[in-house]
Amino acid sequence: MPQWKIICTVPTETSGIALRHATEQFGRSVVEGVAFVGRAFVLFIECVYWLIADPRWLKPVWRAAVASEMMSVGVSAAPVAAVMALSAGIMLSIQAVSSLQDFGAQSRAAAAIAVTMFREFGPLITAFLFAGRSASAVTVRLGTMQISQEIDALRVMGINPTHHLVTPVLIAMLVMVPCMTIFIDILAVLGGGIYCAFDLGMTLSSYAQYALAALVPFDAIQGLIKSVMFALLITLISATYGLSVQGGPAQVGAATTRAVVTATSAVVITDMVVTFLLAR
Amino acid sequence: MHDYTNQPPTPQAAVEVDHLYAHYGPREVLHDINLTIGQGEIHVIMGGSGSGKSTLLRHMLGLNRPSAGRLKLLGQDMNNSEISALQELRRNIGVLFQGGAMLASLTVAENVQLPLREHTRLDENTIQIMTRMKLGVVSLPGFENFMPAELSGGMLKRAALARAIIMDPKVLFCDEPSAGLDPGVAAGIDELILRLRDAMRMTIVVVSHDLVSAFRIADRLTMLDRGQILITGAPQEVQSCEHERVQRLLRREHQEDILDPEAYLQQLTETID
Repeated sequence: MPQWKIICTVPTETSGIALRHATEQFGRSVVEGVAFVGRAFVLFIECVYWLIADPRWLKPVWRAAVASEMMSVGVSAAPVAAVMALSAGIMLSIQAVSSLQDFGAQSRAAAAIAVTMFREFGPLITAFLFAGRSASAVTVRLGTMQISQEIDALRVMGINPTHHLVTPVLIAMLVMVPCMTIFIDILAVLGGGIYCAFDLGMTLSSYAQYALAALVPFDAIQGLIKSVMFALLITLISATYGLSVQGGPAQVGAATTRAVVTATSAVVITDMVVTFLLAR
Repeated sequence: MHDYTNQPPTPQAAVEVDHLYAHYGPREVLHDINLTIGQGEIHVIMGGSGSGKSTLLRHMLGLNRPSAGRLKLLGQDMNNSEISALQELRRNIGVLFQGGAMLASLTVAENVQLPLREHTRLDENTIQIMTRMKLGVVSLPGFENFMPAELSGGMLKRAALARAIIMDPKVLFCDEPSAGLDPGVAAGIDELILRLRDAMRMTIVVVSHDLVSAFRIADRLTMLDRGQILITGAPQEVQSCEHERVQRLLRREHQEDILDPEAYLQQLTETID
């Protein structure tokens, strides 16, 4: 009988404590989440202020910073983006050809690949590339500057860290993510064309004609709208995490992981919402 | 107990701290700090680890807001000033951070020039000449194109010092200028601080735990312990002070902060919270 008591009592107490901890953890996460969104929004307002209200962005030193960020986040990502785009195009083409073969509509593969890439996969692949590559780089850079007191040094020199560090990244991302989206769209459609030429014996020019006939300007516009939103999200999330780092190098690593996970999740959720709003 | 902190204020104060209290969460880190630093003096704030000296410095720089009390820098209230006024005030102060805090992505020259490019409309030639001049003052001529990562600890502090004085500030703050340096290099930094005071008539506030360095450069010293000022005065006054904790700090004796295990557990809990 006493043994039964022990067996019955312990799980009840443990589950009570576990439930309390889970509730506390959930509450804490909600509060932290709301605080994070607030910080990111304030950062966005600050960036807009520095871009519109302060004419100092015309200074050569600031333009050089933007150009440097464009090289770092965009141009240097071109080789890996090209490999990803070609692979995605070929993969999509394999799936399209094998699915459409059942209906004898292989020639429609070009249209399927072009529309899918321009509307959906192009912006999404680009966003994943930037969320993994640039978001982590921004968080590590800002986090390291935070713990090495470089951000404090800027503040006491009367230099606003948002203006000096975040705004150039935001401009670079807003320019480079849409550019890279177009680059990935075109290369992916080309990759699909290479596979169609190999598998279906279709010439590249007829493949291009089918693809262009299926595309309307709004397909590209839809992709570009998404890519601008993704650029904004990735920059704000990574910068907010970077500027919130406190402590040492371990916290920089943790913040970087959180930034990449949050940015990727935000991209997927935003994509779903924007697709719902634009594609119906 | 004697009121060692009751020092007569200097006529023209560069920094005035009035009944300042600061907390990290529920933990009080600064308790009723009253301090006046006169213009043109080298004032060293010293104390052991966790004594609150770096926190006091962050308050003086306006990086932290106090829980209570007032802090004036060059006659301007740091807590009740407009942001634009604070920005203007910050052009009159220079800061040498503990690790230098040089922007890693910029060269030494670009780091030193940063405040000039942000706050002035000087032409490129003048900016280059001023950069060379300041790097000369800190004995780093010819290092313009080096990256911060390529400099030794002592050189990094000198470069950071050049950046701190590029705008000819009225007040220079130095956080642990000799930390992590060998005695010879640390003595060189001390010489540099003395030279800056004499040549540029700056008020220099140094936060340090290095006794040798502190007594070498200080016109006046403030000794902090557990968030409270133990004494403020000339180096001779501090050395002759009979206060037990001052003497223990001067003798570098280990101080048992907490002997009661319950109080120790309480402190651990507060730290975790």
